[in-house]
Amino acid sequence: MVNCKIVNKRNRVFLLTSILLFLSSCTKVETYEDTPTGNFEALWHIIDENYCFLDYKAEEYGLDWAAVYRKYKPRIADGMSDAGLFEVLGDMLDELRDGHVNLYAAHDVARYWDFREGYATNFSEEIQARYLGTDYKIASGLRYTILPDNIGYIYVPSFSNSIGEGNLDECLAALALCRGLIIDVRNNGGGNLSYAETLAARFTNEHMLTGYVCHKTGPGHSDFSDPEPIYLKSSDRLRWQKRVCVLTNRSSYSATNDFVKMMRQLPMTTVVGDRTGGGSGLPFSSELPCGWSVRFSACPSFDAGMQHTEFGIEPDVKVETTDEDRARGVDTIIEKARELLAK
Amino acid sequence: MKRHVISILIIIGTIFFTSAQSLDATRFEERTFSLGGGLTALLDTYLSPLTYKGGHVVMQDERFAQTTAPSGRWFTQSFFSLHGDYTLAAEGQGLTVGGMADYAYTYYYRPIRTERWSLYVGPQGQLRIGGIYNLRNSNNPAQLKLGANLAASTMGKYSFTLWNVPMSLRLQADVPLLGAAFAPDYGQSYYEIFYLGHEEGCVHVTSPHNNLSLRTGLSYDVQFRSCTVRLTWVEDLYHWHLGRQQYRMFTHSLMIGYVSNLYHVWRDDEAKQYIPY
Repeated sequence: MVNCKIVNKRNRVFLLTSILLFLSSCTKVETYEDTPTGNFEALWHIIDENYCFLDYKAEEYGLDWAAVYRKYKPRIADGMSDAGLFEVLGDMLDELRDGHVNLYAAHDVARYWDFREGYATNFSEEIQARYLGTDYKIASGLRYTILPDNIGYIYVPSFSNSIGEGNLDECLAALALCRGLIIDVRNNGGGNLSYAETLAARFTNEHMLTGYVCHKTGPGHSDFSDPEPIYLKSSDRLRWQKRVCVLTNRSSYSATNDFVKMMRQLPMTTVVGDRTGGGSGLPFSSELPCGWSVRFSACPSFDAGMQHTEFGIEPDVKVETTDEDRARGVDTIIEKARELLAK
Repeated sequence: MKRHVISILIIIGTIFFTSAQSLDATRFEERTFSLGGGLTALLDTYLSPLTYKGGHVVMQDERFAQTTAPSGRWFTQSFFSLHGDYTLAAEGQGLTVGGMADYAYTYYYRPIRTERWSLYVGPQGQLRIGGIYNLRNSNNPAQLKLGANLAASTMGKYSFTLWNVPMSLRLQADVPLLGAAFAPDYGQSYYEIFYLGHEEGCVHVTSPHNNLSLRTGLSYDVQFRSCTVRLTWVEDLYHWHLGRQQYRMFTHSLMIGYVSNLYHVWRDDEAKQYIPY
């Protein structure tokens, strides 16, 4: 009799466990209606559950995402126009102060560009053209020349254009006799992280720890994986062994920020110019019920000291272009780099 | 975790291997090649919280053969299908394209056979590889689909004659029970997994608690002289809940195929009497 009771109890536990296991796989996916309220709720929850800097920005400037909900919800009315809704949602996303956050609709793109628009540009294509001349060489995503004082100059306008090993072999070989090298990544808004690493790998003779990356493991603001180290692997091809200056401004963003993060670790490198724009989160995309696409930072990366670089990296030598130099057609930052490399 | 995954893959591999061995002998085999299309509904929360809907085309090759086991009650079925999807978000603004290859090998036992009815049950090994690509996403543009399962399969067949034409109806259902599948973590990028090599936690052990899937197929065979045509309706329901991400794919397909009956003679064995299944 006692045994029967035990067996029955075991059976019930087994049955209950089986049912719970079965039901656990039937977790409901939250869905929202295609109304202004539904789209607002969907966007707020996408950010709440997936954006990777909510805790960090709460510490940095007091971002309170729940308070953001309370602030913008009253501005939503179900009879409002698409343009009105887009404006409110764009304003809400601006609270994140993140250039990687965008809302894409057929008629507009909501963006946050204050990381660069509120600052001096410190770059002029017209003045740069005086340094590049007209006979500069182009190796895929690299434009390069030799300046009159025998300093190599490479301009990298974007990391969206591929940079191949062959391109780098040719470029560095052509500049091999120069006494120093300037890598200008001003106004480079980023692109592919692997291209930035391919370039940086030509400037180190050993594998170097350059930072960490982690990802969200759940919808909570603090749900993160353990940080995984990122190593810059030394290239086994032609490597630069002389001094390098990396030129930056506030528009050096995203993958370019990552490039600067790697390069500043290297002993022969000096970062010259203005603070970079930042953008250290790897952006993911999602969608609202109305079909608008939203982009947001999903995976945070850190520097080798486990510090965020989301709001940019300070240069080793801070230089801003001056009105006087601009009037003379001189790039103050390039001149400073030449001066440093000539020493 | 790795040990469990490897054990599961060894079990599934053993099914494929032992089943294949049994075919090296004189046997009857039915081959069917089918083409078709249908409707697809897709939800992959790694790519989007929206359900995408659209269509697909599918190609399927099935081989059903009797083994040389003396009882005459053992059969094998190999099944290979390729399908391509084209789905749109509800508002027509998002677009995904996808492709999937599925392979299944079943070792059937026939416990019941009457003049008209046959029932088969057995273990099935399943392999799935494919991917979905969302054309407007940034660093989460695609989702790789990789999985191997040990499944239970059952099949019932009813043969009859109408207007002097031999016909048959067949219903098959496959349910995965234990397996392994690839899926990134909640917010993990493929850059981190494949470029940086941080793939830990991307392989999951699956069972009905996180993989509720069912494949059902209803086919109708009709014979015209020496030619047999097969009409098949297939419903595939996949529901994976891995790494806090959900993947649901519902497809309905209608296919038309050509059935050929073969009798293999292996070496010097005498051709055995035809044993219709």
